[in-house]
Amino acid sequence: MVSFELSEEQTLLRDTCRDFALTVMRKQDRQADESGEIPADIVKQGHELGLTTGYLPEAYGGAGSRLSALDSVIIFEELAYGNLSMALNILAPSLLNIPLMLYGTDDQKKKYFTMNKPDQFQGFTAALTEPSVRFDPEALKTTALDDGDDFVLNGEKAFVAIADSALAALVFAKKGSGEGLAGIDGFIVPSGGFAVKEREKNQGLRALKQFTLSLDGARVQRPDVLKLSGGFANLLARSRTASIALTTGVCRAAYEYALAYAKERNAFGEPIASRQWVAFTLAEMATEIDAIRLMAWKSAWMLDKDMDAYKEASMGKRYAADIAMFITRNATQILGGHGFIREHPVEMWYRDARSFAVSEFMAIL
Amino acid sequence: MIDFELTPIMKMAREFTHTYARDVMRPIARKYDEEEHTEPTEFIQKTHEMFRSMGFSFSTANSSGDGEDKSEHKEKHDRPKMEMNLLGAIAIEEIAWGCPGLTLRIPGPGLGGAAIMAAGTPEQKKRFMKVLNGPKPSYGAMALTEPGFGSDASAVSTTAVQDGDYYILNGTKIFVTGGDMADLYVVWATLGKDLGRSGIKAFVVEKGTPGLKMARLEHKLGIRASDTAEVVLEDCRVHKDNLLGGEKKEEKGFKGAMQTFDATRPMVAAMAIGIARSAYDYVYEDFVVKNGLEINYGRPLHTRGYIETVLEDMEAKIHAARLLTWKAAWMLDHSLPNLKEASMAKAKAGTVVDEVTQKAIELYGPEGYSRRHLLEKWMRDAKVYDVFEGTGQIQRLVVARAILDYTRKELK
Repeated sequence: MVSFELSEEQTLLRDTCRDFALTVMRKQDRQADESGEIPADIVKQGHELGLTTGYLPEAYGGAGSRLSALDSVIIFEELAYGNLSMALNILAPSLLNIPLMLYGTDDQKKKYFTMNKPDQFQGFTAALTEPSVRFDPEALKTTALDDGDDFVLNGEKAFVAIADSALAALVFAKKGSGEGLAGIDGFIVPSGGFAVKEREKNQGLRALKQFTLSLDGARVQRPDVLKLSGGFANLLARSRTASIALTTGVCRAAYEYALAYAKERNAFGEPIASRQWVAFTLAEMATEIDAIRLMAWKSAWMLDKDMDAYKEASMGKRYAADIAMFITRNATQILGGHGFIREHPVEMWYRDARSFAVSEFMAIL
Repeated sequence: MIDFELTPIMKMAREFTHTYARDVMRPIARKYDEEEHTEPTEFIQKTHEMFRSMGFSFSTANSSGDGEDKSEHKEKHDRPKMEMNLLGAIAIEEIAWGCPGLTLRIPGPGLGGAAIMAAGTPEQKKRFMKVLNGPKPSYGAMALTEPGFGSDASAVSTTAVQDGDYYILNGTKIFVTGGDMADLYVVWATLGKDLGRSGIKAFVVEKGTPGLKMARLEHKLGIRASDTAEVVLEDCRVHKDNLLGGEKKEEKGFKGAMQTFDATRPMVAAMAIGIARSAYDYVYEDFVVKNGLEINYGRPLHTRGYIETVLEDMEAKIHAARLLTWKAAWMLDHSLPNLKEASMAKAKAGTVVDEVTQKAIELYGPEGYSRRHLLEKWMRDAKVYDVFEGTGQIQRLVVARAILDYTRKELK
C-alpha cells in the first residue's frame, strides 16, 4: 500500500538530526570550510547520536536497533542539510560497519564492532576510488594476490576520508582475475598497513580530511578478508542511495537560503522573490528537491525489501547530481553578487554539490 | 510508513489498461491522428462498455461511480475505501501510453464531472453523475476558457443574469475538450463583473438546452483524435438547480471549482508521463531490445555512449515525474491539501514529456521525423500537456506562491 508518510519514530529521528544540523553543524560550517578542520566536539556530538553504532548487535556492544535504509536516507538528508563534510566524517564508521553487518563473519564482527565506542568517535573508513581520470569501480587497479596465508595488496587509493586517524580501512581490490563488480572483495587493513600520503585539496568538501593512500605490498590475513560474494554491487547501491539523500540535504540548504534571501532582498521597490524568474526558479528547485527525495526513499525502500536497487540507485544518483548543480548554481545566482562572496554559505554548497557526480562510496546505508 | 508497494488492484488495473492500450488503442492511433474530426465510434462504444463493466471511470478518478461524495467515507474511516486518485494515475498513464488523443475521447465524467465533484452539492453530484456514468457513452465537458482569456480564469466575461428560477447565459467558450460530444457542460459565467471572483459561478448546461450551440472545431497540433470545440451560449436558460454549489453565497464558488484542478492535475501529469514513456519505450525497443545496446547504469561516463546516457536520463526524468505525481494523487486520496504538489507534478511532467518526446525523435534520426512512426505524433501530442489545465508557467506560479507564502498580489 503506497504511502509517503514517515512513521512517528522516523519523524522524531528526522527532527533530532535537523536540530543537530541547525544548532551545531551550521554554527561552525564556514569556519570548518575555511580552516579545513572539523571541530572534534562536533564529530563527538554527531557520533553520540548513535547513527553509526546504534544498529550494531547488542552482543558486540551496539544498541541492536534495526538497520533500515529508509531511516538512513531520512537521517542523511538532515546531516547533509547541516554540512556535507561534517556528515561524511560523522558517518565514516559505517563505511566498514555496514559491509561487515551484511557480509562479515562472526569473528570479523566481534573484532571490529567492539572497536566502536558509543561515546567516543573511533574512525573507520573505506578506500575505493583510485587516482585516475578514467576511474572505474568495475576495473580496479588495486590488486590482492593470494599468497598462502595472506593476501598481498598493491595499488593507490584516493579521496579516502579520515585516513590519518582511522583505526582501519576497508580497501576494495580485485582478487585474482575476477571480472567486473563480481570480482571485487573487501580487505580490512589496519592503520599502519597503508601509507597515508598527501591530503587531498578539493574544490569543496574542504573541511573533510581526505588522503591518497598507497598500498605497497600490504599483507592482509585471511580472517580480515571481507568476502563479498558478488555483493559489491549491493554496496554500491547502498552508497548511491546514500548519495541521493545527501544531495537532497545540500540542495535543501541552498534552496532555503535562496528563498529567504529572495524575500528579504529588495530591488526596484519590491522583494526580488516577486519577480517571476526568481519565483519560478525557486518553484523548480522545490519540485526537484521533492523528486530526488522520493527517489532516495524509493531506492531505500527497495533495499529494505531486499530488492535489487542497483539500477534505481545508480540512475537516481546521476539524476540527483545534475539537480544538485541546477539548484546550487541558481541559489548562487539568486543571491547575485552576494552569492559569490564567502560571507554567504551558498558558494560553499555550490562547491560541495559538485562532488556528487564524481564521488563514489563516500557514505553507505 | 513510507511504502511504494502497489495494491493488487492497482497492479491488475495497470496490467489490464496496458494491454488495452497496446491492443486496442495503438493500432488505431495513427488513423485518428490523420483523420481529424472523425469520431472513433467503435472505440468509444467498446471502451465505454469495458470500463462500465469494471465499474471504473477513467476520466475523473476522484468521482466514484454513483456520484457519492467520498469525503463522507473519510469521516467514517481512517483511510478511503479505495485510493481512487492513485489508482487513476496508474491506470491513465497506461491508457495515455496507448494514445493520448484517444484517451481524451474515452467517455466518462471528464473535466466537467471533476468540477461537479469539486463544487457541486450532494444532490447535484448524484443527479449529474448518474448521467455521466449512465448506460450510454456520455461525457462531461468543461467550458471555462474564452477568446479573451486563458490562464486568468477570473476574467470570465460570459454573463449569467437571474430571471426567476432561471439564469440566462450569454457568451463564447473556446477550447472545450470533447465539446462536440458532451452530454453536459460546466459553463463558467459571472453574475456581474463588479462582484469580482465571488461573482463567478459554474452552471451545468445539459445538451439540447436551447441557446447552447457548438460553433466550430479547432484544428490542432496534436491530440487530434480528441475534438476541441467552440461553444456559444445565446440567451441560454439554465435552472437554478444547475448552479454548482447552490445559490448561497458562502457555498463553494470560484475557489471551490478551482479545486477541481487539485484532482485533475495529477491525472494530466500521469497522462504526460504515459506519453513520455511511449516515446522512451519505442526507442528502447529499437536500440536495446532489437540492436543489443546495453544501458550500463552507474558506469563512469568514459565507458558509456551518448545514446545510452540519453536513454538513462529519459528514464530518470520519467521516474522523477511519476513519483511526484503519485505523491500528489496519494495526498488527495488521504484528504491532504495537495495544491502545491499537484502543480509540481503537472509542471514537472509537462516539461519532461516535451523533452523526452523531442529527444526520442533525435535519437531515431530522419526516421524519427517520418510519419511512419508514432514518435513525431507523440511529440505533437505532448505539447498540450504543458499548456492545458494550467500552463507550465501557471503551475510554477502556484508552487512559487505556496513556497513563498505570497498572495496573488505579491507574486503576479
